[in-house]
Amino acid sequence: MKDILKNGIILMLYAAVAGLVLGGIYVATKDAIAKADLSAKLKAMEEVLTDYETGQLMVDKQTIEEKVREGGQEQVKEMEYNGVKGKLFLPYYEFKSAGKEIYVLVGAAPGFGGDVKVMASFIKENGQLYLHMIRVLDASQETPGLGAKIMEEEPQKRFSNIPQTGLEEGVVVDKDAKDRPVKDKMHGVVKTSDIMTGATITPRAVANAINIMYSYLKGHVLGGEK
Amino acid sequence: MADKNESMAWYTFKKGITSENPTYVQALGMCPTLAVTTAAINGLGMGLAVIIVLTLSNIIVSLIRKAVPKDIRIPIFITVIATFVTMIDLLMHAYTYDLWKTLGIFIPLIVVNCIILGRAEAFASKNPVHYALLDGLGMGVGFTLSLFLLGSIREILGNGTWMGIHLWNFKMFMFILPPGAFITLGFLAAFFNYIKIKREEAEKKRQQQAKAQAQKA
Repeated sequence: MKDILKNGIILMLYAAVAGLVLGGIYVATKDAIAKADLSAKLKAMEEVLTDYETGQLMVDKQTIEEKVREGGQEQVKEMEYNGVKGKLFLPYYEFKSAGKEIYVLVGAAPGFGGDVKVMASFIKENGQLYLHMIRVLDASQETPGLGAKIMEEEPQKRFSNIPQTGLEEGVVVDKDAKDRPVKDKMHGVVKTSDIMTGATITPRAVANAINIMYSYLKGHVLGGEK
Repeated sequence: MADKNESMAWYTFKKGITSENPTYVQALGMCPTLAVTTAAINGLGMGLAVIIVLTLSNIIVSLIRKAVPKDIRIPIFITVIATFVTMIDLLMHAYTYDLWKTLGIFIPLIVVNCIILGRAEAFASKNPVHYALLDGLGMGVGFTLSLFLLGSIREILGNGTWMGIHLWNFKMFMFILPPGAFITLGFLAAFFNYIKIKREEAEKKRQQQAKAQAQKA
């Protein structure tokens, strides 16, 4: 009994020292971690808010930073689209620029090894909504050389400029097009099989994440129910 | 005496890289070895994180070895290792964000990497600090080189790139998938064990010749 107590106290002392050291490191790195997370988010947001024709930002950097800071801590909402479970990361961000309403959302859907997290900008202009651009934030669990290629510029570009008709039908990759015309974004079909040979699950996850974001945008934001 | 100490120190360091290589000879830490080596840079990043944790935990375990009761040495070693891993996780998140994202779950899993607990238990808890430091460094460097080699082969054959640099268009996807990891690891382990056996045979032969010469004399 005496030994058990002695060992327990010694173990507690070691745990207390470890806790103190970690507390110190946490305090010392807290700001740098927040800064790193924020700059990663800002970088992605600036990319989806860039006009791909002019290469110019549609919203100034300061406004983007203010909105992100106002948004605060990220909340996760479980969602489902056509039987596929996914996640939506709230808050969403709303910007106004030269007669355009821009919505930036972050969603995720299961890929090959884990969730593929995607940021997307939707633009409402002259009463028409379209998906402007996406940026894959995290595909670290996907297979390098195969699914992880989704982090490259070209596959992500394929998901840009999808009109509302395509969003309504649901975005799919060309392998899942079935009777829809392949390579036709009007019908929500995105061709990825030529640049992502051997990897269908990852681009499919991106398509599912887009569908989840669109269904939230349609139902909760544009539909009036906030 | 100084020479003996020096050679002992050198042996303590180099055994982790060659004769007692944790990956190819001791077959320790197989889970991260197989999982993260899909690209050379991942192997290098994981290896560097392990060098830091292994060296620091070896130093601390050696320093506290006389103040650790035998019955609770394992939970204490794990506490020390987990503290360093959490420190590395926080520091990488703060200052090397991209690498931290790439390594993902494998950083927290360093806590249960059997190389680290194995060296704490088998070496650091029984030896003075400077040897524990050299052992940690040597094993860490050995682990890093193993992961880097495995990652390089898999990336070159499976993706046609090395450290992200495009080499050619020829790709055998199997090498970046789990079967490719097992096959490559198997060939490398066979190669390193073949060298080890040949060395041991040569050493045995040399000793027999020396013995024969001594008998003749």
